[in-house]
Amino acid sequence: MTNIRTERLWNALRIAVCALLLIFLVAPMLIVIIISFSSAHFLTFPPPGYSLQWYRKLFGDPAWFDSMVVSVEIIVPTGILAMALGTAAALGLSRGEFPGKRVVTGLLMAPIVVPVIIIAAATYGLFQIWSLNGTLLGFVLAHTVLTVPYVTSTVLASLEMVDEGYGKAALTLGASPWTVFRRIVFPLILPGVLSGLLFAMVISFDELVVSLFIGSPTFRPVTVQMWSDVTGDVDPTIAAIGTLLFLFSLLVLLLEAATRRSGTSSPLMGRS
Amino acid sequence: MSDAILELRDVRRTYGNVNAVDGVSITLASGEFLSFLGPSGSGKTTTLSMIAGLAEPSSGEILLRGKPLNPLPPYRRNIGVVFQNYALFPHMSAEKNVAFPLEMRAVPRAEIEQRVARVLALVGLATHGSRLPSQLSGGQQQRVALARAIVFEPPLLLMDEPLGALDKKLREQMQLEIKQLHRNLGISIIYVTHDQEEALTMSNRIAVFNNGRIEQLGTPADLYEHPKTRFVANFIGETNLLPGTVAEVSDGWCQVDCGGLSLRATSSAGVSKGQKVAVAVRPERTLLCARGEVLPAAENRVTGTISESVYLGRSRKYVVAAAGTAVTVVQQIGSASEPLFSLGDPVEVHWLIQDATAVLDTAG
Amino acid sequence: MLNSGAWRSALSRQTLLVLPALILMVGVFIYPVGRLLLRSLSEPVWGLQNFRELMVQPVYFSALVNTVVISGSVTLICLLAGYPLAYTIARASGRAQRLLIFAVLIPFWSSILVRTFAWLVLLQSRGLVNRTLIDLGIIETPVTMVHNRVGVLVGMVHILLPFMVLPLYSVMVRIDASYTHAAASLGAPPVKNFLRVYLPLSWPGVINGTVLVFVMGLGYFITPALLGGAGDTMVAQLIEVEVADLGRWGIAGALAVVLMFGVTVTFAFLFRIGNPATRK
Repeated sequence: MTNIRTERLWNALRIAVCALLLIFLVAPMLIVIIISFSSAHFLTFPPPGYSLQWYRKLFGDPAWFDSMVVSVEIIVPTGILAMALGTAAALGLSRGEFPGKRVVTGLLMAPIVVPVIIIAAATYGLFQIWSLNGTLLGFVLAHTVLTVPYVTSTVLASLEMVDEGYGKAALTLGASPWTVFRRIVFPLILPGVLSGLLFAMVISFDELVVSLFIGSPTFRPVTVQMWSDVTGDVDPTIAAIGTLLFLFSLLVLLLEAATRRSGTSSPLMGRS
Repeated sequence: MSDAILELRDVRRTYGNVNAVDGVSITLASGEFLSFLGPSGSGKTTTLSMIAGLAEPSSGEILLRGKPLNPLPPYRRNIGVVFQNYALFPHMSAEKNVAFPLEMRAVPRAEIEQRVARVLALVGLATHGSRLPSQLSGGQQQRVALARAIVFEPPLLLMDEPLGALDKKLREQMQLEIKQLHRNLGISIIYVTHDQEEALTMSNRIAVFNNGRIEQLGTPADLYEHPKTRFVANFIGETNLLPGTVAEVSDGWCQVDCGGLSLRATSSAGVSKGQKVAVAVRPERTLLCARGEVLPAAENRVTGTISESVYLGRSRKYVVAAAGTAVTVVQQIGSASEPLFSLGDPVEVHWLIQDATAVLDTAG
Repeated sequence: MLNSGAWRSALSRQTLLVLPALILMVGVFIYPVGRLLLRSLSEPVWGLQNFRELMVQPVYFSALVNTVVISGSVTLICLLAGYPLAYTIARASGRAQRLLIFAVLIPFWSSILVRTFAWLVLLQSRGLVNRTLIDLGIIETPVTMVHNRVGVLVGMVHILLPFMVLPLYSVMVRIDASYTHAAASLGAPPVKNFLRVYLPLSWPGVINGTVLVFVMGLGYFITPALLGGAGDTMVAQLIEVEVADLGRWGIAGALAVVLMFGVTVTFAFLFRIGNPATRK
């Protein structure tokens, strides 16, 4: 009933649909990048001309510039804190069974499954009591909670790939358990740990929903500034910051891929 | 007699209900090469791990030069270990791997460099020091692992099936090299393997492990010529086993009743009248002749017919069906005067009585 | 007698390393979320009045219904579009495959807000999509695609599609081609081959992707807020209004409880029917 020709037709159709889907996935970002260089004051595509005015506005307008500074102020401590807590947690979990291990693992990973709107509202309520809304400490705590699960699972994956035979060999050669960690295990998981750091910083930089709730008019990261811009009078400034955000994430992705040994799995590239 | 460097006293290791190591006692003399030989799960690797300190004995004592090892963690035992998969640190070059134990012992930098260079030259890798393990072949990695385990001059070296991952030719070459190294350094070695040929080639003595116990401990010749149990006879080399009961014992000899045949064989200490034994005789110690030929008296003989004939290049193997069982005969193909037999030929298999041993017929 | 207690306790000390992260989680996550959920019952007074209001008031009830309907539709579209896409990527080789995966991941690395904004630009009356359709003669006047259901669906499908494709892909790439070859050699025509051999083998990926997309869709906030109209309000937007504008924590808590319930039920469904899928 079927022959090679119909099969070829179906295949061609499938490939065509997939090509369209890929365009669907990739095009919007390209359009944002192009609009960011638009010379017009409103959002038309294609742009009538090209200019760098929106990038200049980003750095010139105090509202935008201040919010970018706040973003940087947040992601650095968040990244470092998440890296430290997540790596420690991964090391603690990798030691083997202990009573309640499943519960602990579940608690550490929970922020990934709970809808972020709930986390946002809950954190806002808590910070009302603790007077942490609109503060750097509040942001760092909240963002660290969101990013620790990713760091933990990244470092755990790294640890799993370190053959326990190395530790045994080092012990027989005279290394104490602490030296084994310092000289053998840590250097081998370092790419994973750094991945976790970069991953945490990217997530924190892009974070909007929680930041919306716990920010204040005077202390808000750039994503919240973008939100108020979009829901108000829109101009291509938002395209400029969007492009910058994209380039930042892309840079981090490439950096992470470069420091990784080939053949290892990377959380930024998704599960393979 | 050289003093004992390692002593195991009734060492046991139990996991739940299973006795992985069930009462092992050994004395290793200084400078001796002792192999732990046995099938997987026989307890040889577990025993090795306990000596290294990577596993805890459930009971029993391990003494190095008379001092108990039990309370010491592995990093204080000063014993060299070569692992099955080498366990070379992937992020360190060969030199750095070999230098590692010396760094752990706070040896001064200049001396470290000297000793590392010397030991790498000893294993033939003088020019490969700066390479990473991933840039070395399997055989080269094995040598680096060996170098790393001896650079700190430990009194004892433990090797856990180190040649398993290599191909046959390379393995045979490495066996000879390890043997040479052993002679030159005078170090005491415990070598775990499941390959009996390897054990026979390299060891001063062999401990045959089965089900967590040592079935026999002796020189390669002892084990080959005078196996004490069916398991040992079977595990080392190929052997014929003719089951029977002991009719008489006297003075190192016994008469065994094997289903109608009366065979005379040497007997080891544990054999007594009425016991179930198997008469073990190696195929290459047996001879074939046509039925009816006259034979000297001090020989056992079994009458049968050729049921199988296999050409093996340097020898020919016959299987003779006789007395309800099968006897394997291996004949060297040498001079053209060796008689050839065909399937179905009536023959007699005979051997010198001192080439046959009565072994305990233990299950295994 | 045997072995050093010191070494043993060094190992158990390592387990304590989980404590700092755990304390943070309990203090800044478990506690506030639990508190929020509890407020559904405790404010303004103890009782179930908040939940009653959710059922009775059309604003809340229709939002709850919307949420399930929208998320469900998005999941279905993502499945129908994502399956062939994942299949194509799984069958591609070497460089092409890596390129395709990279293309699928590009959306991950641009923020949701920016991409939603891009759709706002594209789908507006004078936007590129409308102009192209008019130029091609398919329509005569611009179609309204923003601030309505179309906009929300397009936006959410765009963002959630990779979350369907990647789980599907990771399962498909492990399906040995020899299964379908064997089926063909045994006489199975393509459609039967797919339904009886390939689809069942890809099922764990289907379950994983479906659950992931649906659960994420339930909690969505940014996209429906920007691209949806009044009739497309989803639960997350309601929670935001109740907390930020109205300060009605009781209702907000109740909405959060309902949302968590939906998420939990979906995950329980996953464990029930897709057990092989949870094996790592």
